[in-house]
Amino acid sequence: MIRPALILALCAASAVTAFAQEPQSAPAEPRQPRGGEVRFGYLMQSLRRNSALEGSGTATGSGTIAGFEFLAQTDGLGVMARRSTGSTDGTGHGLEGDFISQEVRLMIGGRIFSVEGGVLERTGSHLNEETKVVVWRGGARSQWNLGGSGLVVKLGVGLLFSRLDTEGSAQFKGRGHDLDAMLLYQAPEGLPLYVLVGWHHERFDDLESTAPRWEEGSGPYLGIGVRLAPRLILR
Amino acid sequence: MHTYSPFWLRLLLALGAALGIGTPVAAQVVDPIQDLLDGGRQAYNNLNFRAADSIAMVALERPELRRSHRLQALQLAAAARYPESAGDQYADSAMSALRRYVRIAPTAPIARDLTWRGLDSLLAEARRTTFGASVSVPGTTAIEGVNGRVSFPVAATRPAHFALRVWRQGDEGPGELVDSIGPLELGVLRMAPVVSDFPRFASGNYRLQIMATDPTTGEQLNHVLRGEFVTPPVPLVEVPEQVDPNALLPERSRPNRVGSLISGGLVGGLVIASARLLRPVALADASVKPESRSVPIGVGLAVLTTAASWYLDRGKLIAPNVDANLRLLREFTARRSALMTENERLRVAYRGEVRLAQEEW
Repeated sequence: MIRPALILALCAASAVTAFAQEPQSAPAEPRQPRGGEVRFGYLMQSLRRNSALEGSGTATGSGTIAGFEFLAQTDGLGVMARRSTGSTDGTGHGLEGDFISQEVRLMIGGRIFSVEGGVLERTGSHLNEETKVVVWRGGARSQWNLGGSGLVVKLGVGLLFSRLDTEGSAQFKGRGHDLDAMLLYQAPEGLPLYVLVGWHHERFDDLESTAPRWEEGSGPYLGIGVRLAPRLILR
Repeated sequence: MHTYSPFWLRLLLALGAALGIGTPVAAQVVDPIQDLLDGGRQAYNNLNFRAADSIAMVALERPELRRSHRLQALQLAAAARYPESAGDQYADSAMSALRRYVRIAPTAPIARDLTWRGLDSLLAEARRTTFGASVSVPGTTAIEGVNGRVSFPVAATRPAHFALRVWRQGDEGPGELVDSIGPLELGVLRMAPVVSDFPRFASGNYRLQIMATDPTTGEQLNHVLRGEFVTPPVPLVEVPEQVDPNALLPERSRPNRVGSLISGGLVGGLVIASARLLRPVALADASVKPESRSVPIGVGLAVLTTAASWYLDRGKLIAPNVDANLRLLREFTARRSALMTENERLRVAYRGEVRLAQEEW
């Protein structure tokens, strides 16, 4: 728990640092843009997963997931929904197979810094057995514009708590955390398009099962879509 | 050439003056040449053609002769030398007077009471064979508004080039070419005393020359005018061309280079660190290597973030300053528009005057 908290603090500190402007002769002090953001786009991630199962050694898997995400955020509230599908090849531990990921988050706070909570459902199929993981997520995110360049840095961390529902088998609990680091470029005024490139890392530990399991997944992702947001204007 | 003795001249003059022939009393006092010419006209009417011709020649030698006198004298001389009575006709001599007449009055007819069909034929022949040109001197022209013009109608017996040149009194040299037209028989030379809101010729005395050139023979006729120009400066108010750049506020903040560096380092560092620090210990203990792509991708994101920001960041628009500059520009535009309107009024209200007096060809 200490590391994610440190990262969160680091995000906040970096945001403050990045917001600081060089001295200028203008009488008006520039501030970060205010106002809402609406974004809808396509997202694709190259994913690699590692797993350690007590008594069963380790396994790896890799694949690609892709889908759509929608985000709407004002200075007070926000909502984000994402749905992606994909498949991975693996060497065991159920890492291989197809899966569907659906997630909804609610955010409280401004675009610069907000806390968020949500639920994520992952449905996997492996050897004709369907597995559904419901993950509750709480976290924080920060974003800031890099001057008037149209670039936006977005950082987010979260804590994960889950239940596993397997048809005909027992439930168990797990926890973990994730991290997102992303660079988004908003096209110049009049062209509401964006592209983004980022990195996602998550870790999930299931220590309450009879056979404890540790899992991590990470990889870069690319996104493109439509985005309506104040880009350069300072109010 | 037919001449009369001074005795007969004095007699005729005395008779004319005593009888008040042809002219009002006031004119007799101020215009003795006109009295003389009126006497000549009376002699012509009395069929005393020799006397009429002699009086015309005397008048032509007077130094104070005006153009109107000269025209009358030449008409009288031509008529006296080529009357209807065949025995008194001297065609060559009459043609000589008509050529002199046509040179300065190419389109003017001979007075109806002096001419007849035969003399008109001689006049037409004189026009055909003589290059003559004239200009109508406008006298005094009021310049109303900066676009006011002074016009000089010109005429010639054949198509000719006309040029108007102006010299300041006392100046030598080629003068300033103001207008030129031709070749044509009838036209108008124009002079704009004010050009681009500035008097082309400051108030003062000038000499004007209208030169007519026969393009066939190269023969030139010059008409010289004396001019007095009253052309005060156009009292325009100054209209600024652009906003004082020092009054404008900067509309963009300075690019945040430090923020770019920190952001790039943070993004790249988090990517690399996440793959190493946030992973389960069990995986590390099992010698499962951390995500190898995190390093190149982390470095790449750091470089991309910094470089793109460095390149693309021109500073943020500062809305209050943008608004303030817009207000300043609007006020400037309105003030400039008002000044321009005032100048238009002043241009229309401008008044000047050009007084011209003619000298001889």
